[in-house]
This record gives sequence, structure tokens and C-alpha cells, in this order.
Amino acid sequence: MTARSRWLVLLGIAGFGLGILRGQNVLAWSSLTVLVWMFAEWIRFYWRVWRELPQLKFIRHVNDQTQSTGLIWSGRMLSVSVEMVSGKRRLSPLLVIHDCLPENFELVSGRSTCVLISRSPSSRFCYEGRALGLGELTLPGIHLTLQDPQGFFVTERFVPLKQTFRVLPTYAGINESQPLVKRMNSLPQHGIHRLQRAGMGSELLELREYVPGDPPKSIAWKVSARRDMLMTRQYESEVPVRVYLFVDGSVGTRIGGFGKRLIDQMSYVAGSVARSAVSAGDPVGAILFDERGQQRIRPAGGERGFHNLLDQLTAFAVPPSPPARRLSPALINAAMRLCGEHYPDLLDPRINQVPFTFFPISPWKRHLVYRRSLLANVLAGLYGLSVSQIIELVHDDRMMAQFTQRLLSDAGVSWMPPLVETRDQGFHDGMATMEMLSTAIADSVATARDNEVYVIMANLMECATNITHVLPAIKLALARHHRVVFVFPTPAFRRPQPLRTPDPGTSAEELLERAEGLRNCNLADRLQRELRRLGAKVALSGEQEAIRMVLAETELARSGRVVFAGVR
Amino acid sequence: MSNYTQSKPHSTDDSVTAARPELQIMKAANLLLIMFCGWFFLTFLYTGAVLNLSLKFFFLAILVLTLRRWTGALLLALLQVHLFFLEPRVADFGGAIGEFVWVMTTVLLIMAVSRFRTLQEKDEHSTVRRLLSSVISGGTNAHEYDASVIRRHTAAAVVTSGRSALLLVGCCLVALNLMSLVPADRTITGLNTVSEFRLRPSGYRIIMSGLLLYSVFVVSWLFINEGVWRRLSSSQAGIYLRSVLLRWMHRDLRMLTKRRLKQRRRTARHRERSVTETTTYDSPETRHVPTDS
Amino acid sequence: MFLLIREVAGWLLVLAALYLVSVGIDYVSNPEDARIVEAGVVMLAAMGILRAGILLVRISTAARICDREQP
Repeated sequence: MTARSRWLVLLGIAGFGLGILRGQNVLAWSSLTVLVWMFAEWIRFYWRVWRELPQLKFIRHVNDQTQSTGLIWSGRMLSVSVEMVSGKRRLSPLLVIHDCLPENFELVSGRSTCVLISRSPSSRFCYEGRALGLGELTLPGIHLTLQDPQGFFVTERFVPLKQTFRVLPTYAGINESQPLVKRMNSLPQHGIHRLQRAGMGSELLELREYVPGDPPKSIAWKVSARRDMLMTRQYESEVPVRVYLFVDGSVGTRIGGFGKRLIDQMSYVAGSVARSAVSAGDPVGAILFDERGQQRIRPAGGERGFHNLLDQLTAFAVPPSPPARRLSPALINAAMRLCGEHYPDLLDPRINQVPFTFFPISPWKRHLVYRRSLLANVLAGLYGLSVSQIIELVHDDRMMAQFTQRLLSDAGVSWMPPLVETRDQGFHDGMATMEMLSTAIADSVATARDNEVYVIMANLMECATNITHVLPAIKLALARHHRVVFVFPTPAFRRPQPLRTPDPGTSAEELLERAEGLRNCNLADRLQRELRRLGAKVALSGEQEAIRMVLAETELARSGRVVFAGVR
Repeated sequence: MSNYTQSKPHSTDDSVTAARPELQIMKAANLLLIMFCGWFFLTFLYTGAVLNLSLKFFFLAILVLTLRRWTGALLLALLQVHLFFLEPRVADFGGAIGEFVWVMTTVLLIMAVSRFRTLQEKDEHSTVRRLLSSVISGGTNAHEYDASVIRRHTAAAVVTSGRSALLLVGCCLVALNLMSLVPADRTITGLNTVSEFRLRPSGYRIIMSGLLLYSVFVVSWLFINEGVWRRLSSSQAGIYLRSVLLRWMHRDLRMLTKRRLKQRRRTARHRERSVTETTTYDSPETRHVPTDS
Repeated sequence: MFLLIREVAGWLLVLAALYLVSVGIDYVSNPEDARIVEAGVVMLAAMGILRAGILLVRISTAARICDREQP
């Protein structure tokens, strides 16, 4: 019953009473007619709730597929159509149908809501959108709002229609320029590269003096005759180049809106590098590390290996349970809004009953306690809690915060306030990341072969001042002749540039942005200086330039040279 | 930005039917109905009152503002005030045709206003603004829809309005019957007390009609609600059972839980203090260094 | 079975309450001998019994639904 109908009922009763008391028949009759009419509308409305609503059936097509699971790519367009069919009868107005969209879905065109105004047996609406970040995308179901034509009575329902998709990371198509001039005598096998070091390949590397023990067939007889001394042919080595992607999944990389998290940026670089390496026939492996530990994906080539890598990256990007935080009104509000959309029938006061208490006396505080009790009951229903645990939820802030976070996280809410606190503890997070990274590099070096390229994508900007903690592991990798390339993602998804414009603007946002830019720039400079001194390559942000730098380094590894200038 | 952290919930975004012909036609039909009822009341309202014209203007202003801001309850209150002050008090009640028309128009006006407001909430554009833009553009926007579509939806709107009007006639007659169930006394003015009734006849009529209405409401409410109750989902039923059990045992459980939480906090505080003390003892500033003396 | 018995008991209470309502109406239906106070008492009792009966019916129904859904 809405406020509109409550006022009418109140006036109807008052008018009827006064009309009878004073003998004013038209007043009594008109008021009673209003009451009878509202009663008739109430019966009609309940009939619809009872008979029509349970007969509604919904079918959702995502890219013409109706399966409950699937695979999509982040950033690519999805066309969604929702069809509603009634079992027997024609549907009466008004019915608002809303397809609930998760945060990881961006609506591009069309509407996800449809309003049924006239009587009809079916309805259909379409919209287009895209998944923002990699991980998981779940379309939970349809929210229905049934209303009578006058707006006197309203009821809300949620019809579960769950479709879950794994969202694979997008990657950049790097143009590979293949040389047109033949530069070698025999074409090596796909994925095998000419390493310009002595080996058993087919291309000549150099001629040197004979040393006892050299195989007789490698003696260059013509040259030996010319120089009057035995000369030996030294051949190039032919080896595969293995690319290892180190992806950081610590808390700091998961904070932010979908598509703007650092992990999205790193996955984009990882996907692009992997695509290019697989195209060149190089096997690509990965080490995914976060607070839960490290996961090693063995190097594999070909399309199968590439898709396996993307699949593992996707699973890794699905947010685990968020770090605990204090209970706040914003967290409760967010959970209540989510319940209002996904579980409106569980918030019905006839079903979700709140016990009466005298305290607190203040109406505002009473309202807060009432909402919290409603939420506690819903959480108990969803997670199977006992009655004593409901009371505990109402009185224990820590437990309430934990379950509220779980509810929001399960619904696919991004790691932003109020779900997680954005603390100013980047330094400590960074130190932990460095520890994990050092361990991962050391483990990898211990099991590595020659000629590997390590692409390290980690959030180390916040602790640039203490980068020395990770340097021993890097030195170890470089000493074993591996190539090390760092890609540091930046929150703005763009390279921190030294600000040239003298006028930063006067608004607080502009000044803050400038200050943040300056800070990032300084940190980036420090990181680059330290790491380049060791011989590692450094790129900032997930731009195409960073990907090109990684690819150039991989090319160097394939050629066996140290730098592009041709110095061996 | 999170959907659930926005001030406006996603589900309330209902204004999504920008230019659907059936919406516009239904709104226009209701607007016509409001105009007709308004004209009727402006003709007959407050005739004989001292401030006749001013009161009519006031009614017109409220009617226009109701389309935008308030609900039909305000109009009903205005009409009731008019009847309260200006309707003659008669004992005899037969349900004359004039009275019937008045009652019907009243309810029709409330219905049309409520429907118009409900449809307006689903529309992005105001009807008045749409009409004005059509007039300004010289009617170029008028041929936005196909004629057959307009004809079909107009017919549907007429059928819907006719069906609703029939329902209202039925309600009017039911109300009349309910009123006639309670006997009216023809000899009294409502001010004197009748010895054989032992209470004022109008008071008796109120009690009797109230009881009748209550019993009708209770019986129908009972059967409808219980029918709907059987359609509960398992999660709804689980929450209902938990919340009823919680209501019954709330005081005891609350006492136990609060005590447990207090104990837990005390333990945590104690542990924290012991850790702090250990740290203080170990710190170089407070460490006791034995001296030879 | 136990839940069914409770539901039947609830419906019996509801019927008793409706009977009391009819008794209350009967008290005031005769204008010459309208017993208002007695009718009021009966109606109050009827409302209490109705409430208890509905609660019993609803709890039994909800429990049966939960019971049916559990494997």
C-alpha cells in the first residue's frame, strides 16, 4: 500500500463517519464509494500477485545464447535481449521489468528496463553493453515491480535468471613486421631462434683456431689451408625463448572500478605479450602471486597454451574475499540497496519481522536498528545462520561487517568504498608485494633454463624508496643471463608525465591531480634509475609503448644480442 | 562508482518509455477525463457560497498542481470540505440520480488523476511540454506515429477507461447497498436522543456500518492473504520462521549475546594490554640495567 | 502430520473468531436492544483469537514449505 492509497483510505473513513454522523448522505456515499473502490482494486491487485506473477517466464539471450555459463572478452560488445512470456493469461499493466546489471557491465545502448503499460501476452526488450574488467560477469536475474494503474499498491519481486560468464582479458594486436630479405641459410623450426652464441645450430657464428677436442668435421679446411693453421667453424646456437609473466594480484592491484584496476592493466599487457610471443612460436608461462601464495603456469606454446594462460589469468582476477574492514553506515546502505534490488521479497515486513524493543528511544536510531535487523534476517536466510547468530549480527559490528562484505562481494561489487577501505598504507602493501615477488623470482630462477625473458608486472610504485629489497632477486636473474623487464601499472592508466603547464588550475580536484601526478612522476623516476642501473628494462603503465618495449626485449633475447646497436 | 553506493537505487529508474504511443495516448485520455470532471466541479462547486469565484479558482489551482505534485487525496479532501459545509442534512436517503452523478464524478476524478500521475512517473517528458513543442513546431511532430497504431491504442485506452468506469459504477452501487443495510431513522434530525435506541441514531448507524465493513474486510482479507501465503518461496518461509522465533526469544538471546560480546571484548583488551606491557619491558628505554653498586 | 494438525487447529481458531464476530454483529443488529459494550468485548476477543489462529496457520504453512524444499 502506497502513501497515496493510505491518504485516500484515511479521508474515506473520516468522510464516511462524518457523513453518517451529520446525516450528509452524499458525503457518506462518496467516501464509502472511495473505500469500496480501493477494496476492489486491492482484491484485483492481489489476484494478479497470486495468479499472474507465478506464471511469468523469462528468457535472456546473450549474444543469442541462453546457456547459464559462457565465455566473453572484456571490452567487446554484447547484445542482450530479454523475453517475457506469460503462461496463460495476458499481463495486466503496470509491470516494470528490470534486468539487474552487475558493476562489471557497462550499458552502451538501449535500456535494461521495460515498462508494460497496456495488456499484452508477452514483452521483449534489448540492450547492448560490454564487460569492463576481466574475471567474472554474472547477470543475476530480473527485478519486477507490479503496480495497479492508480499506483495504490506496489509489490516487488526478483526472478532469478542467473547467467555467469568468464571474462577473458583483451589484448593488443601488435603488428609484426617480418623481414622480406632472406637472412639465414636454413629456416629453423617454429619457435626456435638463432641465438648468437656458440652452439649446434646451422648458421655460422665465427671461425676460430682449432682446439684439441673440436670435432674434425667442424674444421674449415679451405680457410685452414689459406692461413696455414687449423681453423674451426663455430656455429650459432638455436634455442627457444621462453617468456615468463609475473603478475601481481595483491590487494592494491584489485582496488578500483572494473576496467580501471591495476590488475586489468597488467592482464592487458600480459595478454598482448603472450599473444605476440605465441605468434612467434615462443612458449609463455606465468607466475601469478598474491597474499594467498603463488601459482605457476608452465610455459606452453600454440593457441591452446595461449588460451590456457588467459583462462588462468581470468580465474586469478576473480576477486577473493575482500580484506576485513570496520562497519560503516555506507556499508549497511549499500547492502540494503543490494537487497532491495535482489531480494525485495525478503524485505517484506510481513515476512521479515523485527522484534519490538524500547531502546533506543530516538526515532533516527530506532530506524537504524530496524534496518540492521532487517538486513541481519536476510543475511541469516542467505547464509543459513541460526537465530542466536542473527542477534549477534545485530549487536556485533565486526560480524555484521564481515557478512555484509561477503554479500556485496558475492554480488560482484567492485573493491571500492564502502566494500573496502582505501587506506594510505601503500608502503606496507608494497613491502609485502616485494617479499612475494622476490620469492617468486628466486623460485623461477632456480627452475629456469637459459635465455628466458621475465616480464614482471607488479605494483611497486608505492614503495619505490625501498626497492633495494627486491634487487638481490633481480641481480640473480640477470646473472643467470635472463632478460628482466618491469612494467609498473599506474592508477591513471597512463604514463606519469612531468607536468609542463605552468598553470595547474585552481580547483581542489585539479590541484590534487597535479600533486598526484608529480608524486607518481618522482616515484617512477626513482624506480627507473635504480632498475636500469642493474640492466633491467622499465616501462610504466599498460600503454602500447610498454608492450612494444617488452616485445623488443624478447626480440633481443631471440637474437642473443645485448642491445640493439649490434654489439655482441 | 558502485551501483549500490549511489544515492538513487537502480530499480527506481522507471522513466524509460520516452516516446511510446500507448503511454502518450493513455495519458491524453486521462487528461481529457480530468478536464471533464474539472469542468463539472467548477460548474457546480461552491454555488451559493460567499467567496464562490475565489474558491473555484482555488479548486482549479489545486487540480492543476495535483497533475504535477500532489495526489488525488487533496482533491477528495476539497470535495469533502465542500459537502461538509454546503450539503443539507436530511434524514431521507434514496440515492437520487444527481447524487449518483456527483459520487461517480468524484471517484472518476480521483481515478483519472491517480492514473495520470502514475503514467507520468513512467514518462521522461511532460505531456504539457510535448503539446507545447508540437504547437511551436507547427504540428510537424504530430505525425510521429502511424495512424493505425494511434487508432489501435486509442481503442485500447477507451476500452480500459470504460472498464474502469464500469467498476466504479459497481462500487457506487455496492456502497449504496451497504449504506441501505443499516436502517436510517426518518424522524430524527441527528441531534436528539431516542429513548428506545439508548444512543444517538447516527452513532448507532456508524457502529453498525463500521462492524459490517470490518467483517466484510476481515473475511476477504483472511482468505486472500492466506491464499497468497501459500505461494511463499522457501527462502521467504525460512526468514519468516527465523524472525518469528527471534521475536519470541528476543529478550533472552539478546541478554546472552551481549554478555558474550562483552566478555570477548574484555579478553581482547586484556590480551592487548599484556602485549603492550611485554613490549614496554623489552624496549631499551625502560629496560632495567643492573648496576654494580 | 504434526504441522498439518497445527494448521487445522489454526483454522479452527480462525473459524471461532469469525463466529465471535458474527455474535458481535448480532448484539448490535437489533436497534431496539443494541448491546454496544458487550459487542465491543466480543469483538476484541474475536480479534485476539483471529490473530492467534492466523499466526498458527502461517507458521505451519511456512514450516511445511521449508520441510518440502529440504532434500
